[in-house]
Amino acid sequence: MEVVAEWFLRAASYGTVFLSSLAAMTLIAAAAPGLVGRERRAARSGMRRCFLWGVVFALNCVLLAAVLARIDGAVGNVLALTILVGLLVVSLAGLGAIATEVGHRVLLLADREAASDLARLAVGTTVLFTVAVIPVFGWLVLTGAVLTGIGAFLDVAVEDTRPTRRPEPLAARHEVRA
Amino acid sequence: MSSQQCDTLADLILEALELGRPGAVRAVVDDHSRGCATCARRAGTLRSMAAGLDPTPPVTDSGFVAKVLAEIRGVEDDSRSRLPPPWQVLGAIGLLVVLAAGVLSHHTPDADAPWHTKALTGFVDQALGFLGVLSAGLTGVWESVAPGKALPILAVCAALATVLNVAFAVGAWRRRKQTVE
Repeated sequence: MEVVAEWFLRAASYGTVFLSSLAAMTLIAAAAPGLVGRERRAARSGMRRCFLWGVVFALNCVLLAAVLARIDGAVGNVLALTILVGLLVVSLAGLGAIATEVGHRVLLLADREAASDLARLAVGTTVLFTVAVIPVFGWLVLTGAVLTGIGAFLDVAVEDTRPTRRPEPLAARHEVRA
Repeated sequence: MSSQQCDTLADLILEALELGRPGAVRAVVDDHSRGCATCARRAGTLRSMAAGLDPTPPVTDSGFVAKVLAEIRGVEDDSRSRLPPPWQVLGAIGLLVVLAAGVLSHHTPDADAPWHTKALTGFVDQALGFLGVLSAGLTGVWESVAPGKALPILAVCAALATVLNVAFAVGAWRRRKQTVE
């Protein structure tokens, strides 16, 4: 009986994590729909690069948090918590884009090309979190999606920090080429 | 020179293009147009067409007039697709640090604390617990590899990861710059 109760508790906490993640990703997608679209493009155009950057960034955050947590006093703990919260926000923003892309491709299997972004996000998140129940393989899939999402988010973030340039007038461009 | 039979300009432009020198085409066209009324007319037409094809200047101001102009031109507002400016992100991080410091300074892990204190600081307990497990686990791994040197190794690893992270950011920055150019 205790075993059943423990499994039920685990399932409930996993469901809570799934629902809260989906809610957070929906919020991010609603706040910045264009951002999610650009993250999807970044992930599609350089999946390996995004994944590698995600791995490096996640390692960086975890190692920094671990080092800071060893410092005596509240300062180290506060900074470490801030880093972890930042990593969580970036992860959710990235995973939302990857889940939307996964949902888009899954819905294509059902000939639902014109599905809304919300439906894509919900389907993609459900698929990813359900796959993650499978030991090892599922964990790797979800981890890969999160890390690729982190990389895609960072790629877009770098693009946004660049100052936008006014396009040159066409006549001036002709002049330069000539 | 007959106005309908002048093909000189086309040949001159092709030759100037082959030179690949900046300003060569304009110089050739100007030189020839001075002595050829037909080509001067043609060049004038082409220049006015090019000027007419110029894109409308983007709205860089965020004031009322700029918003009205953007509305008239049908320019889409892309502010929702961009991340907030760095000062806002840094402000949010600062606020988070202050809040976390405030909660931690009043936080005492007491099992007999009233329920409202537990409700407020319970998440801090969980987060600190996770952080402690994470830090102890990583330190433990290195402690088993090199006893007594776990912290320096962790710090070096963190520094290396930071360098790699910055390298990725610089790479992305340069790639974007090349794309824009």
